[in-house]
Amino acid sequence: MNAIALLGRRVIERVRGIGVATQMLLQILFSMPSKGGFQRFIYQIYRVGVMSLLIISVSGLFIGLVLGLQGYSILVNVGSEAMLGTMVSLTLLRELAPVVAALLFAGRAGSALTAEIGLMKATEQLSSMEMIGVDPLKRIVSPRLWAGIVSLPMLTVVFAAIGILGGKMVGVDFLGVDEGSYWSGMQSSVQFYKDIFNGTIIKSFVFALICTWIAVYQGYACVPTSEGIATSTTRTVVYSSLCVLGFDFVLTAVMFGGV
Amino acid sequence: MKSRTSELAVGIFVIIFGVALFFLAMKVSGLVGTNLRDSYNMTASFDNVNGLKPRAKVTMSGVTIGRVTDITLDPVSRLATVHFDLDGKLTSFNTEQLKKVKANALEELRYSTEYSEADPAKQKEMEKQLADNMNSITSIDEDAYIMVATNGLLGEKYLKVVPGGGLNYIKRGESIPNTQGTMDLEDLISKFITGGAGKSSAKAAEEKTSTESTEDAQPSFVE
Repeated sequence: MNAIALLGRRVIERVRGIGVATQMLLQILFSMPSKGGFQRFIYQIYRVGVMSLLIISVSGLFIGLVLGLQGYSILVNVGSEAMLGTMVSLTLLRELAPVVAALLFAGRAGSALTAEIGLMKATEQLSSMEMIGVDPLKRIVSPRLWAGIVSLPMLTVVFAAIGILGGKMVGVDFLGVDEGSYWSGMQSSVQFYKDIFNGTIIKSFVFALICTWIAVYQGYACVPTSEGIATSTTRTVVYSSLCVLGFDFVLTAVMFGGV
Repeated sequence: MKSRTSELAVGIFVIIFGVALFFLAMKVSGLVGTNLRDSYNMTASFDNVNGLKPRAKVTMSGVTIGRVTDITLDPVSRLATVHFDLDGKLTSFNTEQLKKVKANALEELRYSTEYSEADPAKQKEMEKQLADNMNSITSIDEDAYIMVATNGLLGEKYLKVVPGGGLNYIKRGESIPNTQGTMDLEDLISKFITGGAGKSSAKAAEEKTSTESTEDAQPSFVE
């Protein structure tokens, strides 16, 4: 009996958490921008986006290099290494760039957001803000959420571009695939709206919303102790990663499944 | 000071994003900058366009002169109609060449029997009609044919215009009459295996009913 009650309580807690999180999200998305909000937003883009640029570029480069190398060694067996450009670009644009960038973003920026907001809550900065009549949602959470939503699609596009250049570096410069066939194979198979706009930008926009939403909510709702902050930070990374991978499947099925 | 540096960094970030997006659009998808100058649309009907996709290139002597825009199916003839844009700069004559082409055509006309039999007023009319016809011609002649070709053994399909030796030229917006669809490897193989035997056995079956001589049942390539 107790076990069933426990299960019920868990479920109710989860559902309530989702409800609170949705309420918070809607409150932020449909609120008027506050004075000086744009400055804070720019500063958060700097912290969330620009600071993640290095890890994103380096991982993009290495993923491109590995794709070029693996793709070449597989394709050369069937004598169609001219397809390398097609393979590298479609793999990156449709799947790897949005997903890997979102996972890195959740680890690099999402956890930092949770820890920062959680610590603010633990040291009662958020309650004191409320005390002096400043809405912490507007002042603290909103610029971070918007910055995350804007930054991740930009980072993803940079990731994909660097990855394709990395694939070109290995395939064309080191392994001797014809440069013309690398680019022309790519150009004839990649469609701007289907692959770049849908596949890369829309996908990463959804992932950005999910990742930052989870991050700020976990920070905002964390138990205000050092242990609570640690738990919330872990949860942010775990939930974000799982949601990104799950939603990736759904989005891929919707975008490319019907073909 | 802190906000100044961060603003600068965000500015650079946006520029990097812009460059990356531009790179993806231009170099990777080849969408922006369809650098067809003075472009016009033409059509051609094929019996088989298997593997040809919109945005495939159209070439003449290996030079890309256009892109496929649309592929539709004609419900009456049941042929695939391919619409493609061609580059006007590459596929039309300059004024010097046009004069020469006109002169050639005029000469051709003057030698024709129809022209020599007609009265002078009619001849004038014919000349004028010819000159009008030459106004919007392309450099693709009427003997040229367009075929679905493959880039390499396994590459993508594209359209290839093979110029002929005709003196009459196709006008802009018209369709190219001579076409050759996709060469299906499977069709070729099945033709090779049956070696026209399929055809002859079908004929033989016909002949059994009509009781004709077997002389006609030869495979066509024996000729």
